[in-house]
Amino acid sequence: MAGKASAVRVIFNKEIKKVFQDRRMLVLTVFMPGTLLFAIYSALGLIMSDDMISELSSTETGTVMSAVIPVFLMIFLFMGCIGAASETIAGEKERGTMTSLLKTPVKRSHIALGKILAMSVVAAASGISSLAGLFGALMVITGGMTVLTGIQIMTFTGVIAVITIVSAAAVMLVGTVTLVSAASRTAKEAQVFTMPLVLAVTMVCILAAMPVPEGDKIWIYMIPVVNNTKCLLEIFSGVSDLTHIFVTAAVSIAVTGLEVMGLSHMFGNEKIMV
Amino acid sequence: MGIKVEEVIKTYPCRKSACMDTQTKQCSRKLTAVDNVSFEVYKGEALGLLGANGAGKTTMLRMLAGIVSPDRGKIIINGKNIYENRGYARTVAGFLTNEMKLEDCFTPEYLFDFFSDLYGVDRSVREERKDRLFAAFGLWNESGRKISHMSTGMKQKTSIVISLVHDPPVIIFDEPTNGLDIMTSRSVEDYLLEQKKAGKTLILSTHIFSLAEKVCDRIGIMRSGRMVTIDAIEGIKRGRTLEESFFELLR
Repeated sequence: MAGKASAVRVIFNKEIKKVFQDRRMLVLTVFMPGTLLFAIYSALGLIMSDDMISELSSTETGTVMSAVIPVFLMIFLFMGCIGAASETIAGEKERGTMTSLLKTPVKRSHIALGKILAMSVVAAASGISSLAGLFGALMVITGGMTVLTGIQIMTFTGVIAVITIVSAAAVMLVGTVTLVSAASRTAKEAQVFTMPLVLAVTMVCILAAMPVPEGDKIWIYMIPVVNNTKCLLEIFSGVSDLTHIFVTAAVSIAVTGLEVMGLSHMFGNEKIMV
Repeated sequence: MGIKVEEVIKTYPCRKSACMDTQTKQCSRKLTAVDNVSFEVYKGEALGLLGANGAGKTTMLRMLAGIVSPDRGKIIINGKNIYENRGYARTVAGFLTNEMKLEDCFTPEYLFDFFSDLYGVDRSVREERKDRLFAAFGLWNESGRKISHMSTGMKQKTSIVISLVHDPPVIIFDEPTNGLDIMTSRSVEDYLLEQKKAGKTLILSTHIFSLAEKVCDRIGIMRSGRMVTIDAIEGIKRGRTLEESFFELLR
């Protein structure tokens, strides 16, 4: 039997290859969200008045964007998770390909981890594609880069911090969707079941963007999703705190660990999987 | 590698709408898929399971392969109770069933390599095994073709080959010749005979009497989850054809 690292790597590679092989999935989960957003916002730009466009082109827009982007990024990330994770677990169950994997001696936790990591990459790509679509449209409307001014992420440490928080959030959110997906019989059912979660995550992200009362409330950074959004807000505003980033990443990893345990338990449950 | 099945029982929750409680939408009844079945298969022997649809053959095979666990009873492979060490059954058994599908965006060659990696098969051993199995089942011409573009027979051949990537000492096949033409069925028969000669333990479920007669040493006939009889082929036939004896026993 393959060792832990090897089994996780083999499953990770297969899932990524599957996305590239199945062009429909690549288009639907990675390219389409960004393209759609770009098209929708660009079309909106066509009907905007000149006053509105000049307002959008002002330097304050960049500052406003730094408060809006983290919320959008988290929501887009979650939407990407739904597309990728519901297909890879419930879709495989539906098509009967999951049994082929479960009959191998590979530990269920390794299968769960390999799938979650691969889908996190797809979800992150989907989230970034959506964000790029939004930015692209804004730049087309305003005719320049002014929307980017005022965003304080353009430093090396800022980029690293964003990658850390986005990766941690992607893995955690994919884990959540895969749990729902494993309990569903079909990919369609999984997507229906995750709809209430979309609303919940959107609400939580918007609430997290609200200012908190004075004082460093570290416990806020122990609440999943809230902590990711808050950290991103800080990074994009140029006031990031290493402790907050560390606590957020640790909490996300801990939640993912629990999700992997839950998913491997579900994989071992013949009533759910067979 | 010998297999011993001791008083195995497997039930599933009843999902028949007719007997569901109208309020709770649940049924307290259970369907007994395998009912107190015991038998033994010796090393290098081939056992065939025959029975009508719903007789419990597939559930029995799934339990032998470690995919589902029995409610009661023991399954011992090579002296090890596989439900105390379920991974063991998955390591030593090559299991094929129609419910298992291959991901159709991949090619047979990629899937062979993928499953070999999961079983921890060495690269050099893998290449030699791939050569042998692909040649035996005439898969080389199709090795680079996506599963989605293959015929039913080719998909079945790929599934057979994939279930043998780890050269298992126990081969558990559920309807191995399903969807195969006469020529390919013949190559499956020949391969199974070759494996039996090599000392592998075979358990097959089939509706094709000629396959059972040709490959199996003993036949077990199942009905409604019970093992009606298990005997050497001649003991079951008693001067008649296997088909006649089968219908006679199930009458």
